[in-house]
Amino acid sequence: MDVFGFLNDVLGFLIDVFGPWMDVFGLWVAAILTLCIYSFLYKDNPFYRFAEHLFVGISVGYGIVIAIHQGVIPLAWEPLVEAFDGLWIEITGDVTPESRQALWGLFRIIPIFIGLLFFARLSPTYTWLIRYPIAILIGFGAGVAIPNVLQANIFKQTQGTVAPFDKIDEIVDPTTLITVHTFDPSFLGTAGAVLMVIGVLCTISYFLFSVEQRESYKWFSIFGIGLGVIGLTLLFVDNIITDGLTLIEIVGFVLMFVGVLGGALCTVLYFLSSVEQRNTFNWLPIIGVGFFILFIIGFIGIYGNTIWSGTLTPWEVFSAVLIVVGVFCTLTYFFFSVEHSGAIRWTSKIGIAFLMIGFGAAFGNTVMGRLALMIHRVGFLINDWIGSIIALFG
Amino acid sequence: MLEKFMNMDRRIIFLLVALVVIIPTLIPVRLPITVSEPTQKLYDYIEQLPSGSNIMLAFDYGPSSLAEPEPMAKAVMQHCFSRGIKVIGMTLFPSTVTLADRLMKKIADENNAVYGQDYVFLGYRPGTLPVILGMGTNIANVFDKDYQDTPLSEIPMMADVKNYDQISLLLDLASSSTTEAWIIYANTKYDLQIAAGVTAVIIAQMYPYLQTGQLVGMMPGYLGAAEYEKLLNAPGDGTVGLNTASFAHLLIIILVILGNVAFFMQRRKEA
Repeated sequence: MDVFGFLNDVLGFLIDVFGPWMDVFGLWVAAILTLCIYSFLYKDNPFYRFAEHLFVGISVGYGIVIAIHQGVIPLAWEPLVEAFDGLWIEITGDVTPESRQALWGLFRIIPIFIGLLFFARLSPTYTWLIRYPIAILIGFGAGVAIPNVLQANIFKQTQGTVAPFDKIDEIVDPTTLITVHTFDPSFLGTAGAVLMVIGVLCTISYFLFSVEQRESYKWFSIFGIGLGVIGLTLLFVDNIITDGLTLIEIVGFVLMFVGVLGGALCTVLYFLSSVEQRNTFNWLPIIGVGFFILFIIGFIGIYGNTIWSGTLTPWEVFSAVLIVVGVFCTLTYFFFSVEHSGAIRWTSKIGIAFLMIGFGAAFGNTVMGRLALMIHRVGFLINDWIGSIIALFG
Repeated sequence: MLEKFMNMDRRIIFLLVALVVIIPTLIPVRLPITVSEPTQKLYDYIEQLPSGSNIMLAFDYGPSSLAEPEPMAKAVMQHCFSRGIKVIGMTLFPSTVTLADRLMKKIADENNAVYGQDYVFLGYRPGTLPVILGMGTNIANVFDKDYQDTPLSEIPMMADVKNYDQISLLLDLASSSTTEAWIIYANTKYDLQIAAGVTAVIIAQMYPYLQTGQLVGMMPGYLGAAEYEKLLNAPGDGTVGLNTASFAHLLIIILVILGNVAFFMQRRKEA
C-alpha cells in the first residue's frame, strides 16, 4: 500500500469515527482562528502570527490541490492517458470510433511541453527556454486583449459619455405614443456634421507634435477650422429651416452658433499664442467663458422645453452634462503637453476635484467592504459559535 | 482635552466599532431600505426571462471576501428557482470551489431544486481568459464534466446548452476585476449579457459599465443583497448585514467629523 492510500484510509477511519463531531470541531477551529486574527488589533502576538501563517500555507496548498484536480488532471492527464490507450488500440488493431477520437488528445503534448518549459527557470543552463512560454502567453494575451479592451473600455465608454445627448431632444408624440427627435437632421445637416468631423480631425492634426511641424500644417489646420465653421453653419441653418422652429428656438440656435464659434476661436488663439502673448491677452479666456455662457443660454433656449417634457428627466440631463464636464476636466489634468496656467490650470483644478470625489467614493466603499467582512465574522462568532455552545448546554 | 482627543489610543476606536457591530447583531433592528436603480434593473431583467431560461452564476470571490457575495447568491438563486430559471454555477477562483458547491446545494435544498435539472455546478478550470473565451465556443470544451465528475452530456439541463447563445445572463459575483474580464471578453466578443454582484470595494469601478449598458444591472455590496431581498420580500443575511453596517457607518461618519473638527481647532490654536 502506498503512502497516499494509507493516509486516505486513516482519514476515512477518522471521518467514520468522528464524523458527527467534525462540524463542531470545524466550528471551534474557525472561531479560535478568527479570534487569533482579531487579537492583532490589540497588538502583534504569536497567536496572530500562527493564524496568519496557517492561512497563507493552507491557501497555497489548497489552491495547488484544486488546480491539479480541476485543471491538470481533466485537461492534461486524462486526455493524454486516453490518447495513449487509443494509440495502443490502434497498434493492436481493435479500433473503435471512441479510440480514434481519443487520439486527438495526443495534440495536447504540445501545450503540455510548452507549459513545462516554465520549469526551465530552475536550471541555470536552460533558463533561457522560459522565454518561449512567456512569449506565447504575452502574444496570446495581447492579441486577444487589445481589440476587446479597445472596444469595451475606450469605444463603448466614449460612446456612453455622449450617448445621453442623443436623447436630449427626444419627446413622446402624444398622438402616436412613439418616441421622436424634435430636431431631425436632413441631408444638409448630415453634410454639415460630416464637414465638422473633417474639420475637427484637421485641427487636431495641428496639435500632433510627434511628427515634424511644417508651414503647410498651419494651413491645414486653418483649412480644418474653415471646414468646421461651414459644417457648423450648415447644421444650424438646417435646423432653423427644416424643423419649423419657434422664435425662442431660433434665437437659441443663433446664440449656440455664436457661442461655439467664439469659444472655438478663443481656444485656438490661446493654443497658438506664445507665453508672452498669453500674458498680454489675458482677457482671452474670459471672453471664451463669455461665449460658453452664450452657448449655455442658447442650449437652454432650444432644449429647455424637451429637458422638462422629454424622455430624459432634468436630473438625467444634468448628469449627462456633469459627466462630459468631468471627463473633459479630468483629461485636461492629465494633458501635460501644454503648461498648466490660466484657463488650463483652472480646468485641471476642476478635474482634480472630480478625481478626489472619485477616490473618496472608492475609499468610502472600501471602508464599507471591510466592515461587511467584520460583520460577517462577528455574526459567525455570535450566532454560530456561541449559539452552538448555548445549544449544547441549554 | 483637545490634545488628548487627537492622541487617543486607536484601540478605543476599534472597541467602539466592535460595540456598534456586536450590539445590533445581538439586538436586530430593521431599518427601512429603498431599492436603487442598478439592483432594480437586475431584478427586472431576471423577472422578464421566460421559465426554462439559463443563467450562469460565476462565484468569483475568495473565502476572505464571501461576506457580501453569498447573500447576493442566495437571493438571486432563490429568485431563479421560484421562476423556473435554471442556474449554471462555475468559478474562476480555485479557493471557492467547495464553498460555491456547498452554497448552491444548500440554497437548492431550501428551494426544492433538483441537481442536473434546475441547477448544475461546473467547478473550476485554470486561466481566466481561456475559460471565458472557450465557453463562448463550446462549454463542454472547457468543462467536459461537472464538479461531481459527471460528463456534461449526461446532465439533462445541459442537453440544450452549447455555449453563451443559450445563456440569457451571466451574473458575476466578484471581489476583484473578474467582472471587467467578463465584460471585455464575453460581452464584447460574444454579446453575452452581464450583470454584477460586487463587494463594496469595487463598486465605484463598475458604474461606468452600468451607464453604458455593458452591465444590465448590479448589486452593490451588502446594500445590493439587502435590496434584492426586499424585492423578493424575503429578508436574509443581506438585510441583517446592512442594518448592522448602518450603525457602524454612522459611527465612522461621526469619527470623521470629530477628527476634522479637532484637526482644524488644533491648527487654529497653533497659528
